[in-house]
Amino acid sequence: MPAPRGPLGMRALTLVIIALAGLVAARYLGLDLAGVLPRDAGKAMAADLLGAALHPALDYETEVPPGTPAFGLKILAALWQTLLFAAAAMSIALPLGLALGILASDRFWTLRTQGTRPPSALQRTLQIAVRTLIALMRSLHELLWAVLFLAALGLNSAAAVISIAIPFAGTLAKVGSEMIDETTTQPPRALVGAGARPFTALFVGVLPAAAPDLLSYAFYRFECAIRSAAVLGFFGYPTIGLYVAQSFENYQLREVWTYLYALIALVVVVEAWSRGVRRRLS
Amino acid sequence: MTREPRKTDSEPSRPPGGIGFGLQGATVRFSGKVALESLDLQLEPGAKVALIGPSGAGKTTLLRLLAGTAEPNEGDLRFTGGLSARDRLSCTGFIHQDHALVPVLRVLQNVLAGRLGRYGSLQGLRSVYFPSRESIEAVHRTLTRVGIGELLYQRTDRLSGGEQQRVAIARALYQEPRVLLCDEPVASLDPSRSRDVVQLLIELATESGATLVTSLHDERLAAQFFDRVIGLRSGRVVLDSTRDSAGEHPALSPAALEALFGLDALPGETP
Repeated sequence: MPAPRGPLGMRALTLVIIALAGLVAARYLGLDLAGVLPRDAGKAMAADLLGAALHPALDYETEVPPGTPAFGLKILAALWQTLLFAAAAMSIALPLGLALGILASDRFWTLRTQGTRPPSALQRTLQIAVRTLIALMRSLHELLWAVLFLAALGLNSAAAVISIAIPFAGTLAKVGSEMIDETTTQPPRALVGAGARPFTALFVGVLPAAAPDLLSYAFYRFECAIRSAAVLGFFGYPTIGLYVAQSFENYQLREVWTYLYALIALVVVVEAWSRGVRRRLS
Repeated sequence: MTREPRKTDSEPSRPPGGIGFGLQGATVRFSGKVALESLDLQLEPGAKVALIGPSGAGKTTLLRLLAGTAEPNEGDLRFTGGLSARDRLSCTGFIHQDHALVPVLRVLQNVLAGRLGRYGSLQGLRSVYFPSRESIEAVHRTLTRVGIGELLYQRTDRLSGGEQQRVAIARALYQEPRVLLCDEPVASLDPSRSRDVVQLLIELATESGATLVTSLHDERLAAQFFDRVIGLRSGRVVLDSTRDSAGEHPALSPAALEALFGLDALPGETP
């Protein structure tokens, strides 16, 4: 007897649809492969850029006014500022994101009832309100938040920190609530079944189980925050992006590359640190 | 939320002795399906009882009724001791089939969590994450009693299945329970380890005078170690055997066991 026909044919169809969508999009946007190659004046610029990449500046390319700090010190100070902005943003985003993530998770609202009863209408409304808030927070990119805060508050550090912290807290909450809901239900149920308060069961039975994933994701977001802080330099904040922008305007491409390499080095160092912590935890 | 009176780790243990239960016409349904049907059962304080029966007979549901984590839809469940709902939970030790331990925490923390029922929210957190020297000593004594004292600071998810089960037993024991409930504690163990674990559970319950109720899939183990063996099938008690003066279980005859486990439907049973 032949095996009954299954839904396997849909896979091929799905792949074809994805490929077609790509082609349609390329046609609609007028994409042309030749567009990725520089032309005319761009050619010289591209050559300069590539050449500079191989010879990053080890000192200022031009004469600087007296009293300017040494090139190396200036880079270190810029990296330090970048790190400070990122760390300040994360120290707001982490606790806020964790708290919102807990309130958005299903696990939190079913701790007390042990899953025997669905949450009440009020609890459900609160959960949906929190989820909506999270969606609003992360629906704007940090650069757009920065534009808003820059207009409202002017160029001050708090504006930069908050504009990174808001979308980052939203993303941490969204991903965090999913990680919390992926933990097993049995340990917290066992604790509540032995008389533990739901709050305690959350901190003893749920969060430790989610902690390795949460930590690893928080480290990843810290890296993202460093990059965002660097980009905020283009708005005039004293992070490394400011100096990239300045050097670029003066067409000091070798300095641009030195700053970029320094930023890459910083991200690599943070990655090595996070890997060390994750290895100890897993 | 009512405020708990402050309690310290050095407080004398709760009064020993088991809790007795009386079930009258207790029926439990889960989404329309009957798990226990009009159950009448008396369990004496300090009794040592094994539950046997085929899968889906209602053994776990009965254990959850006794634990206070499920309520009868109809009928009545009474228990001795005049305890509040929360005190009843905190003096009921439950050893889950999957152990229900928190994977990332150390053995110490998992065992300390056994006493969370005695504390308010913040004090409970302190008791697990910032334990006093005395409670660490108490946990170590408990672990030593179940034979794994050296695992005190190990991470729980790095232990073998057998070791994790001992941690689960230690957590229930550290709770100083007056009722000890075990759901298939030896389901994944080989025969000699199974006997060791059942022996240990009997000893621990006997030492504290706690009532012990455990489900077992092996009726010989049940007959060998338990004074009372109750057979459940389709949510009803079809067999209730008490050890006679010769130490035997005459009610556990091959015919009775065949009726309990057999594939033939009983009268009035929907197959």
